[in-house]
Amino acid sequence: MIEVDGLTKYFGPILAVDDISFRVSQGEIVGFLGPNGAGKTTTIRILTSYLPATSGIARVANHDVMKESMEVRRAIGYLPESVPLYPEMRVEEYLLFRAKLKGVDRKARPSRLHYCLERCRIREVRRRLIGTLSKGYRQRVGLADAMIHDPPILILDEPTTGLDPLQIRETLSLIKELGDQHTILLSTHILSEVEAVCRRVIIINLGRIGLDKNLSELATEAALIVLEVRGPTENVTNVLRTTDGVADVSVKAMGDSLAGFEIRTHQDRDLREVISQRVAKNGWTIRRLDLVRRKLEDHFVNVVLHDEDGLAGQKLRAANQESHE
Amino acid sequence: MEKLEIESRENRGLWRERAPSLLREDEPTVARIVGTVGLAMALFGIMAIAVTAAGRQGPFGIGWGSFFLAWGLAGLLFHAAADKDLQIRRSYSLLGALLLIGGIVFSVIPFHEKTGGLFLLGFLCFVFALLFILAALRHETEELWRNRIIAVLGIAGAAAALTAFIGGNIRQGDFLHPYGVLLALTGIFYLWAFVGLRGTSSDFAYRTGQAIGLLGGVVFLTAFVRSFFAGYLVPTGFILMCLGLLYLASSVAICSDRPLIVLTRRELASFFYSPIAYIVLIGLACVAWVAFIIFLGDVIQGTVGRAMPMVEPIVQHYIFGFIPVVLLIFIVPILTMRLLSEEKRSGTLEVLLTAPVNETTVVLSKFLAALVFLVMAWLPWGLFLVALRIEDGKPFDFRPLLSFMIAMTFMGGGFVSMGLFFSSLTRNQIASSVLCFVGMILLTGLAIIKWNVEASSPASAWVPVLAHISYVELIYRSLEGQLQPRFLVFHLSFAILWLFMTVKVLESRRWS
Repeated sequence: MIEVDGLTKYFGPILAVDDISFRVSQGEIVGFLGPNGAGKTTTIRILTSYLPATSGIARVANHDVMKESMEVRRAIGYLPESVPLYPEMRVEEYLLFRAKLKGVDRKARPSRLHYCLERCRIREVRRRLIGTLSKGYRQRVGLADAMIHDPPILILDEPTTGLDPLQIRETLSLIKELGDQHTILLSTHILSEVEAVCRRVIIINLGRIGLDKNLSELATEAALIVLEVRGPTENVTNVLRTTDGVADVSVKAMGDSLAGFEIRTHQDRDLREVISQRVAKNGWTIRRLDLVRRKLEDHFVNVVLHDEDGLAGQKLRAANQESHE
Repeated sequence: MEKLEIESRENRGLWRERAPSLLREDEPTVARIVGTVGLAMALFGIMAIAVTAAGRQGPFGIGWGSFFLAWGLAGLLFHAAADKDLQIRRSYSLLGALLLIGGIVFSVIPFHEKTGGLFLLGFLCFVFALLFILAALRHETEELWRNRIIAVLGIAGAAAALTAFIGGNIRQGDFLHPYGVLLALTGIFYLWAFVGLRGTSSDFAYRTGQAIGLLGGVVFLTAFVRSFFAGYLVPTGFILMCLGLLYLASSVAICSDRPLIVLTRRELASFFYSPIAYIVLIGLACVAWVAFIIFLGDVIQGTVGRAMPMVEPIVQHYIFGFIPVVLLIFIVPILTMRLLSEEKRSGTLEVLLTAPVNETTVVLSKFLAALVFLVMAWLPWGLFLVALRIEDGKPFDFRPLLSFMIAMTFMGGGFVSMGLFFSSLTRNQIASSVLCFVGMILLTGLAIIKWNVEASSPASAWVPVLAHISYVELIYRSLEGQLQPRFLVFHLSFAILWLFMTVKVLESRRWS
């Protein structure tokens, strides 16, 4: 439903989105993660055809966002980050106005309105002026507006900012329910939200995609064995490296002949018992032995902190290119 | 981080959210005081008029009577629109119904052995009936009552419209002018209210809206065909065609779901959501009032005091001097300043432009709404002249007012599109209004330059050039009853230029 290929966006000299590519297929709920200023909103604005891309192709519902902008706009329901609404209009009046604008058939309008009011739980405020509503209600009016024309794709830019914990929970459960009928791209910087509703996560940082994986894939990803041993660090490392099934060992000295090890294994094998035996055989003492699966947060931190490397790599590539030419 | 637990839908009912002001209703104290004072003034006014009408010499004449009645009715309307109390809103609905019946009675009973002699009174009753019913309906929450009252509005509107058009086609001249015209206007207002209150999402209201258009079309075509017979076009055929077009345009404005119409409707309504519309309308009406008093003095002096009577067109003595120019300089920036800058500031422009509408539609809708408002704001000037015609009983040439309105439409188009352009440049309303104000001053300056050049060297080639592009000249000429298309075309192209640039400013975000 959403295909992005080599999308790049410059604001003057500033690179906001740097050659990103991803795909979202029908019926998916994808979390679009990233720290503030990562380029999420810019990417979304390009997808909604509000801004043009500097280069690259984006297709939404099989329409090019630049060339077939109208078709794209008809296919998406978009909730911008700050939820801009007309404060002087009444909720019902506003939603009907939007429905007319988005070309909802006259006969379908009352039922769509009823459905959205119910679904977003704003029925009790439908006669109120939008300007007098609380942030939570306004957010839901925005959501109702996004889904009023029953679009196949919903693009929600940080739909939970400014809500209280209960409202966040309700909004997320609504988004999860909507996932049955719509393809959803949910932008946020709150990790727990993604874990709660999404099946897939795309982490973006400094305009580049750092991770694009299914959450289930992340859960089954190779576990890490964490080990703390008192003993001669080099010998321990050698012993660990030669253990059958170990792929990689990283060492962190902790002082006082104590060292921490992170061990990756081939085919996700649980080598804890083997390791404990081998370490004990050499007469060293084990302070900690644990099997750790990386959480989304670790991935996120990993992606964000690796930026320095990423940037360095980018500069290096650019330098290389120049020297070749 | 802990994974959030998702609540099932069943558990939700336990906890309900309250929006802030749901807890406390505003006490309509001020509205009640205004309403009480209004009631007293209205009763006093009616008594004063009744005493005079009965032939006795009371302490207050018709003039003071109508003055009190008008302010009293205004106070009552304010109260009706503000008070939610069940008894009060029902009373006002009842008052509306009584006024409606009163209007029908006044329209048909003979007065001075002439049927419809009190029709003007009846028409006023119709207007106030509609206003009171609309005010009371704002608070009517019971569906049954709501539907009944709305149905009454629909029936009354249909009856008035049909009477006007059938009567106008059978009886021609003497019925149509003024009864037919006023009835047709009553009809369209009532039908408008009916369709608007029901909402075009309801099937019946939508069909009614279409029926209004159909009626307008039939009336127009009939009048058009009959105009081929001699002596029909002026004035009967012309009036009927205008009314037909009014009905047709109303139908499109109410029912159409085209983005341009939908957006224009919202923009026009949004003028009335803010105090701007009321300030402009009241301000213009007050200026018109002052101008009319000065004008009346001139007319009386011109016809009584002096040997030379006032020369036609007298209208140019009414909208005189620099009054329209000064008004325009102030009104145009006020009307146009927030059109686009407000949407930019609040971010609603993003929502608007990610809906399936293009920039041209958005710009045109804002332009049309502001232009319609600007032209409509001058209508009260015409109403004062109606009063002169009725009181004095002597005909005068009102047509310069028409040419003034047409000129205003074209000039206003240029000004509004200029303001719209400045509004598209900035998110700051004040900045855009100042830019537009400066623009208006510069345009006015053209006229001053023209007068100076004309005074120093009358033969200069610059005089006709400046006369062509100066809008002040166009106002004066139109008030003399002259309307030359080439001047209108200049202002039209002026408008198109600004609109084109505005569209480009909005599109420029998509230029890479």
